[in-house]
Amino acid sequence: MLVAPEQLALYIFLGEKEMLEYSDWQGYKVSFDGELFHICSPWQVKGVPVFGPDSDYTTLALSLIDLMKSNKVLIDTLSSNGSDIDLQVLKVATGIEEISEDGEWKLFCHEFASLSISKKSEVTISKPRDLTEIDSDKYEQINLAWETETALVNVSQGAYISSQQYNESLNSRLNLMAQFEDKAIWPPRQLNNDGSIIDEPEIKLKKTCLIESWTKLSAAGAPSEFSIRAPILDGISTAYVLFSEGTRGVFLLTDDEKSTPAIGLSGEIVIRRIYSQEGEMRYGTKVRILN
Amino acid sequence: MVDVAIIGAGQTKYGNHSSGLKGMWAEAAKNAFDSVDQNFHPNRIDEAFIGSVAFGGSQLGNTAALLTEHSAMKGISVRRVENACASSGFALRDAWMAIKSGQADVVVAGGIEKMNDLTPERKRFWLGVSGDTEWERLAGLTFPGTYALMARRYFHEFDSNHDDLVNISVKNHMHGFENQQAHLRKEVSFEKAKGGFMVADPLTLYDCCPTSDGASCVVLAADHVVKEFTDDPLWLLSSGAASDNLALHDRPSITQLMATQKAAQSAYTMAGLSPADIDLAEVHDCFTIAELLATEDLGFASRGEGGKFARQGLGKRNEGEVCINPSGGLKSKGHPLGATGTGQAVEVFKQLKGTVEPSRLVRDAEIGLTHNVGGSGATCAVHIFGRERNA
Repeated sequence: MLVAPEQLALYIFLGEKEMLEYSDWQGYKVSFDGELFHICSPWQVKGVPVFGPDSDYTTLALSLIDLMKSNKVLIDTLSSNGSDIDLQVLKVATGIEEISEDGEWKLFCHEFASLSISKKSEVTISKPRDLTEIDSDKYEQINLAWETETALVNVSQGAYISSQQYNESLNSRLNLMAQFEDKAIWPPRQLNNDGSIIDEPEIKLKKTCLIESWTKLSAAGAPSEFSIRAPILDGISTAYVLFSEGTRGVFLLTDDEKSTPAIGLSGEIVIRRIYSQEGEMRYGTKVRILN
Repeated sequence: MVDVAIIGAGQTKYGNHSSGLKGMWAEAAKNAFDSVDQNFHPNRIDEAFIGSVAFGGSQLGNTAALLTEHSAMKGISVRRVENACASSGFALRDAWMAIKSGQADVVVAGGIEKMNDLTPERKRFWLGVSGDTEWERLAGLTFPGTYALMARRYFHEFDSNHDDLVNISVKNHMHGFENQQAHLRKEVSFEKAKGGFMVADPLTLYDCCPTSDGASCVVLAADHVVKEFTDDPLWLLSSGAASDNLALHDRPSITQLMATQKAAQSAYTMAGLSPADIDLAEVHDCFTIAELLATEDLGFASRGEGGKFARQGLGKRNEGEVCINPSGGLKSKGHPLGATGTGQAVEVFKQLKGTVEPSRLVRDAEIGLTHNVGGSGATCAVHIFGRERNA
């Protein structure tokens, strides 16, 4: 349930005056001062901040909460003014069980592809500098593609992954939760070689990985789940990666427009939109090339 | 233990077929029946196993009942066998086991797929249903993608590059050029294959097999009834099969297919043969890298030497120790998923009996092998055939 509509979020342009110092985090720009945590998209179209091709308020929120956790900031309860946040995904990915009207921390979805979390009842945010301009035509095309894909009348031509099946593995998918038997096991498995049930996932894989192979599929070769967006993106890239815990996975690449993958490069795992099925957005993990 | 012979084999031409499922299957079955030397009537068939993915969802249930109803096999025990692209390789194994067990004397194994009457979107949906849908497919992978990951990793680990795959493509197009049953009957130059449209980097269009319509059928008989039908049977010496993790990321290595290695070892041991004894092999080259890996996994080249094997042209017809894909393979002959496994057996049957087009006959061939892989290596069936009952 989305709550606390009275929370006030101000997003103001202060000309050349920069109010916050921004740094890069999981492909976004972030700033924080202990009481206010802010995250925004690094992209803009004609000077206006916009989401990237696989980001939205949910992915921003997940990334920002991950930043807070990495800074030892505990969030027990949260309230949100954002109707665009997928609360189920938020709960599963962050472990925050209580999202209520009187949450200690308040989540503010601002205009212009940005979001804040603070204990204050209102926040004022400045526009970050140094956003990267992206092609406006491509941006419009991607937005239209997402609209088409997420429409209830759109029947995905993709492999059918039911909501139940998606939700069953969501914790492992978003949090990289792995089972352990002598070594890490990810994605989760059922019985071991002795026929015994493997324990539930209990360890969290580190979010860094090593690229062991990669490919870029042409739009014609991409899965039909991506048939609307792949032509606009000029195909989609996938990496086969090794985690430091010894297990492997395959992930779509994100933010790879200006970087060429290579075997041996490091990557970080981030949460992004994957595709939409039956009007429901499916989130998952992708790899950002680091070096 | 009963020995098993192949007494007949036939198929449709692969490609864009004007007939539907029933027509294609009837054509393949009739060609197989007509190829039996003498005294054959379909009422002698005890059992039938038909491999198919049921691509497109057409007649997904009770496929075999419908097809056998239309091919003079009505009333017998039948079933569809599904193991992705290895469906009819496993249908052949099931037929072999039915005779070995003593439960049947004459058995049909076949396969069928109708792939080219769908929209591009539906086709891509069905091309992806046999991979790991939950993790790999949502990471953007179809089979061109999974095999591209294997290829790039192979180039990284061993002395090989894309030119080696180009050589495989050129060879298979050369072999398939004179095969009247082949889908893509055209020779391709090294330069053209090297510069093909990039489908899944580093694999180009010329590294990928086509999607084909087609059906294939073989007739197997127990040793004690063979003489009723022929004085010159082909013996199915052994059958090996295995499986592996469905997803690449669950395997210890992506530059070898453990299912192929296990299936091959089983087949070699059962036949009392080694890779050096094989004169020709129909291997599963859904992508050129798959043939390169197969030459290693089947023991024709040492680990890491598959690229060199291809570079030196050791798999060319009548030039090396073993002819790899004399039919043109999946690359040129075509790949109607469920039909491919028994289609490979049809080629070996005709090669070893000397009934292929004379210009593409593998000379002095006595022993042949088929290698049929499901998906990116989750399933594999290997069969060895010989002119002599005890090779």
